[in-house]
Amino acid sequence: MGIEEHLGDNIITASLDKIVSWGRKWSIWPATFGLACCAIEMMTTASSRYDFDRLGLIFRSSPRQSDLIIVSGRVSYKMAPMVKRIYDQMPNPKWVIAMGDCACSGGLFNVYSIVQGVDRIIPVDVYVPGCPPRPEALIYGIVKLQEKIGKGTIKHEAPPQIIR
Amino acid sequence: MFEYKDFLIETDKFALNVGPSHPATHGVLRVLVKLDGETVVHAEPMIGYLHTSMEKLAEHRTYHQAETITDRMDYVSGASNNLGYILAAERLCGVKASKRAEYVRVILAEFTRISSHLVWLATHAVDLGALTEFLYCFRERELVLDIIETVTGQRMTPSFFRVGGLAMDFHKDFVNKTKDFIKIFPEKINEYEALLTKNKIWLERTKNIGVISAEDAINFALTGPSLRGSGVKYDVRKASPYSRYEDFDFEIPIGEIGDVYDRYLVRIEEMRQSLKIISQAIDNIPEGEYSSYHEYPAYVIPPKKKALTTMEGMIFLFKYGMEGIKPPKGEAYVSIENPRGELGFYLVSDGSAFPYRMRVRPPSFCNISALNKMTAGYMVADLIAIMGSVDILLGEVDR
Amino acid sequence: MDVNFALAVIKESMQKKIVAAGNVNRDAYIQIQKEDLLEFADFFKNDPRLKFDMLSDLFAVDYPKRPERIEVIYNFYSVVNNFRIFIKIRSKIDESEYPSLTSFYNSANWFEREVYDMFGLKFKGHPDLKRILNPDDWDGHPLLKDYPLRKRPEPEEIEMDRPGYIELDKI
Repeated sequence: MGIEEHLGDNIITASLDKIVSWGRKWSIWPATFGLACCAIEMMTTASSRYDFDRLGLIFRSSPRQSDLIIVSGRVSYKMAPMVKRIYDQMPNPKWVIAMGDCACSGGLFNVYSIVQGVDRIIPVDVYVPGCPPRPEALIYGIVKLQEKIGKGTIKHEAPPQIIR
Repeated sequence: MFEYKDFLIETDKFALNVGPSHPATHGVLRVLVKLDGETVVHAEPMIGYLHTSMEKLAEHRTYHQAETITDRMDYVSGASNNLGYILAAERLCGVKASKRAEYVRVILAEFTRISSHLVWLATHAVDLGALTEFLYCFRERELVLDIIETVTGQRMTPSFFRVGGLAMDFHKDFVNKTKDFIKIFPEKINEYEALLTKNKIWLERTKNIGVISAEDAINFALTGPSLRGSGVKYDVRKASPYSRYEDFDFEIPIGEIGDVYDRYLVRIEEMRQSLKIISQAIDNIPEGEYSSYHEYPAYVIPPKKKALTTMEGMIFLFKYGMEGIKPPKGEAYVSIENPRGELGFYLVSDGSAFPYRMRVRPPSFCNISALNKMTAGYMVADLIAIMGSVDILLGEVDR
Repeated sequence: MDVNFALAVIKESMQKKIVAAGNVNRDAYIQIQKEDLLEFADFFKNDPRLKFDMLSDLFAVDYPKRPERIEVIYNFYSVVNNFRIFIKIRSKIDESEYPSLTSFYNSANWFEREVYDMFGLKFKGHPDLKRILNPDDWDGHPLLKDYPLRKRPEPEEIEMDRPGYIELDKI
């Protein structure tokens, strides 16, 4: 059947899209970027008991080497330009997880100084609600993101836009 | 002939911006540093990147709703913040909590102190290049969080205390889990110390770095381990005991010269002392009611059992939920010993169900204001060590 | 020694300048005039019987219905003697400047900046009075009672490309 018959068992054929997406999916490098309470839970997820590394996630301290930003906490108006700049510094393809109620929608803090949801300034792929979400919830969010990445393509796509 | 100065590299002044997103600033602190070569001339912390306007928001919440804001403030030591706020609200109402509740409060507050110091040790050590410490500390922190979760149902933001006591009685597993933890934890502290305390690299990075004298520390209103590291024996738990801290026997560790290493030793010893308090409290939790409902029915939530069996209990529970408590007009200030220092709550009541003004006396806010004093003259790499040793938490600095 | 001793000492030496004094919920307070603040601070810090060596807190409360709308509260603490006293000063919002305590207590620096940021009160003699928590170009003073809780700009209005450089002389 097909080309494998001629080449033997040592060769697997697949579409390039699938191979690349598979590679991207298992080597997500999030930027070390913490804002508030959820950042502590994010650190916990990376530490001994929950262990991010088994999903291929390794924190990178520079946004220029990372392809995921976990917005962990409330974004204030003073901080918003910095979040945007960090997002802009990341190379394509890049993904965003809004972790916690505050990053999803403003949550508890419907006040003058907090941006009501980080999706007002950068496009978000996965929302993880909770105040703060448990590490398990974050891992579930990561798994969902991996599913999304797995369906991706290497064709040039227009970068995601903010839906207003 | 050459002179010594000919061999020196000529340096120039330049500005360096650290943060607000930097792996070693513990959140969103931004520090503007003026350098001469590699020496810090001036370091100015710029804060407000996490400003959440909690003091304003509390004016629009009832007294018990406002409690949920306080544990998002200092988010590594939630129960400790709740305790300070609830004590201030209790003083406003003139309510005294039941003895059983106060013991549980003390245990939870001390557990948050341990978990907060573990987070501090983990991140501080990572900043200085000791990754193993991070994995060790978070291993035990999970055990602490499990115990807090057993009682309160939440890992980091419990909001479990109520005016006059607790939200409910604690779970039966609490005592056993705590006793297990008391058994294993002293060994673990030795494990942390084995990695760092006599480590040559650690000593080089921390000894005689970031020295602040006792006089300066008081003048800058430093509190907590940052002040005790400089040799001032000031701890709110001893100076003005609250919530039955006078029942327990514990020491206040102090440092000698106030460098990064002293502050490290003080916090390590504090974990041992916290454990000592917990082990005394867990053995002596008195029997009885978990809230002082009988003494102060006007301000304290009735037990759920009462609401389901008696008519007036149910009416009161409904009123309590819909309207909240209404303390008399007045003002009250209570300060407690947070893991970071003296955390004070100043509540102003105008007789309505909402606090007229909630002022938080933030320990980290004062502690970080002395950063320039601590860093001037040291190398830029020491800046990270000093920032870590002060143990700030931006949620509380910016509120 | 408890705070009543401190209160007695202060009353004895500064009798004429105290507007009101008393105890509220186990804490002592004194109400004074704004003009006398520096004199009080000097006395508090240097008197051998008092030794209030820490300015623990400084904040304001807004009472829009009162004629003198702003109440500034200073929280002095003596680490040596272990007592605490509150000083209250009432003033109108557009009155002249407050004296700054930065010459006595370093901690006053940030507290005064915070009060300036949140209430718009100015402190005379402060080395660097600017906003601390809100952005420099923020409009209004949020903790005043007439500032709405949810008054905020739209995210589209944020200037995303603010210059990031710093001028060396300004640090």
